Amino acid sequence: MSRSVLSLRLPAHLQSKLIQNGYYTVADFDETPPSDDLSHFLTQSEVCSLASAAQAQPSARSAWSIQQQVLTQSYFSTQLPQVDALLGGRGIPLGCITEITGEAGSGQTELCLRLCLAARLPASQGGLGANSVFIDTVGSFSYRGAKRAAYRLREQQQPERLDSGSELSAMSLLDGIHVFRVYAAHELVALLYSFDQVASHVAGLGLVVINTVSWPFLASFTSNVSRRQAMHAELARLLTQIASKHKVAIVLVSLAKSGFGRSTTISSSPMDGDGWARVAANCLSLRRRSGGTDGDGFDVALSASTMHSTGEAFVRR
Amino acid sequence: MSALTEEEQALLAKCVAKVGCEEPYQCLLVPYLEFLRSTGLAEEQGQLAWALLCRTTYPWQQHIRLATELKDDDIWISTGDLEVDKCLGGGIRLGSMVEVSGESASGKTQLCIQLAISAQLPEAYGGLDGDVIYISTEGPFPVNRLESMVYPLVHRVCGEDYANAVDPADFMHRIQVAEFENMETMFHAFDYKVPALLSTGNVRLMIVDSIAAHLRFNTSNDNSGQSLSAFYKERSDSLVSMGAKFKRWANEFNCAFVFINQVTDLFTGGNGNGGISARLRPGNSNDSDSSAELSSVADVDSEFATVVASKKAPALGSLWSNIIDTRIMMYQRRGLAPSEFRLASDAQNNAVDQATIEPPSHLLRTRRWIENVFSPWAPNALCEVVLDKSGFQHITNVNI
Repeated sequence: MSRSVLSLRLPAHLQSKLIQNGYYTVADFDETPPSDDLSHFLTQSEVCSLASAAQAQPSARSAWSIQQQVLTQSYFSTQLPQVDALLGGRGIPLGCITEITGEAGSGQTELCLRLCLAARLPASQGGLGANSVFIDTVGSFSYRGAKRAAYRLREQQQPERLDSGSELSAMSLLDGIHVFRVYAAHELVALLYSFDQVASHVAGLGLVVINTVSWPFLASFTSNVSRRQAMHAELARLLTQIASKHKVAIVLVSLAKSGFGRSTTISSSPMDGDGWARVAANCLSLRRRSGGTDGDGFDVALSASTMHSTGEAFVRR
Repeated sequence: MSALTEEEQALLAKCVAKVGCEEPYQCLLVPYLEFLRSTGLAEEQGQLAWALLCRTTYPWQQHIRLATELKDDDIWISTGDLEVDKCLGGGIRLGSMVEVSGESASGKTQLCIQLAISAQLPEAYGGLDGDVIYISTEGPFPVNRLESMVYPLVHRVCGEDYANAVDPADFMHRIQVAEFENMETMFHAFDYKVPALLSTGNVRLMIVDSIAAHLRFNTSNDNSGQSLSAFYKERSDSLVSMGAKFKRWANEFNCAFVFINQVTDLFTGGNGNGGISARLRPGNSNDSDSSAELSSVADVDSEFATVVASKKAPALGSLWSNIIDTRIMMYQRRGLAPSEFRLASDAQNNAVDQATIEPPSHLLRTRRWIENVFSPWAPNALCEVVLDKSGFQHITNVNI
């Protein structure tokens, strides 16, 4: 049974031209020599792209080979034991997208900074020894904030050694973070489509953080919600490709609005709906909690995952 | 950046024309396949054109910065008091959007006047030798409070000699005040007058006192039956486009934006999570218990329910909370001081409120706090302060 024309990776107008002229499957035009009937309604370059698309066969793989790939997948620890536990005990997976969502002030930026630092730690401590790219769309990155996060991480790991030695090593963690400031959706799109070049420039890249992925589209498509969602889908597809091609972890921070509901724990809802959850391997939900019996800290919930069952944890500050 | 060849320019012009936009960068705002379809370019040519668009819109080589290189970008305006600065992570950071929120008379305007003076001080004293824009929407600008704070604040921060040497009028000159009565004139100013003032390059601080005044309720002259949801939609769109503009300006013109916000009642449901606690008439609801949760204030029908508000939250909703970087809350309370007194706590609804126990009145005084509620660069912190002629400073002795 031959493949339908609609399943080929071709521009939509080319597909409709073929169908209008009675070519429904690859077999229909494979029979004829390329330069014959097709050239009545297709240009030469269209015929060539048609030939190459027809030849690209999608392949099927066994579930076992997929599992092998998953088992050899790398992870890096978040350096927060409770969050690692939520993520199957291993941490943030490479080659996948992780979505972090939370209301303002729920600790998204702090968590992003921590992940950049955690990725930089050596493998012996659960990291990757890898560089990270921090795409700042809202103006959340500051040197002082990053320095604080580095000190806190060092403190947590080596509470007894707070001397100049540990200051040096805290600063060396910052060396691996490469920051881009983008203001609007078109800049984010341009940057991500140029990602191949960025990845070869920043050798040893392990993590890409986008804080936040919602804002540029909200700002560029303020009232046109359908356009915004179309661009979300486009970007989701692009990010999936980047993640698997370069074997990096992509962490997306999406904005949330407060929800009113019966849920007893985390009640915010993502502003972008499930636009990112659809392509994310893990979705983490953050909420700040203070003044309770457990003290001050953050509730972290794994609200959706393709790999682990959902769960919740409390991280003390 | 290398100049474009004629070929490249022609290609860009063609893309713009076919996609139907005005500027090349807007071609990137359509999905890639749609771009190919509109321009009619074949795969290879299309890729070239797309790469050219990406290169010219955002040349990433010019924008990439190492975290350690950003040290000099971290510039802060001091509040005039070191402990308050520490509480806020360093003061007010240039390039950021800060909200100051609190109940009325909690000292928001006082704090902003203090910042307006402090920003003008030389760098040695925590200032930036900068001009200030003050947008006033809630009545006349408090010029007397400003005038009377200059000498005491400068005296406290810089010492007597410096304070005696400066002329308070200089500080008044460098604050540009604009007063707006409604939303239209305010947004018009944001589009034209404000960027004109900012582009002089000397402004380091802009204060909007307050952002809520014209946005909480429909104060426009045209009251031709605009529905509530249409008003909220228009407001959301305005907040987003305003936020995008300010974020860019904050960075481009190297200044900080401070927005004063009002507080609104936050209705808490039985689980303390955000909802409306309503007492319905018996037999009116499917729920067996007497409290129900409704989705918005608009759903409350006053004939059927009395609503109980037990907390206050900053106005303008979660969209605005997502636009600002930092939120500062100001509290004041009359009372005695137990050593910890967090007004922003998530106390149980049914717990006994400490304030219900009335202390003897001759021992009461007004106590004030400034809280760094959230910030991307500093943890949550609370600082008790006193307010005097020189503005706010941290409390050094706890009077009991």
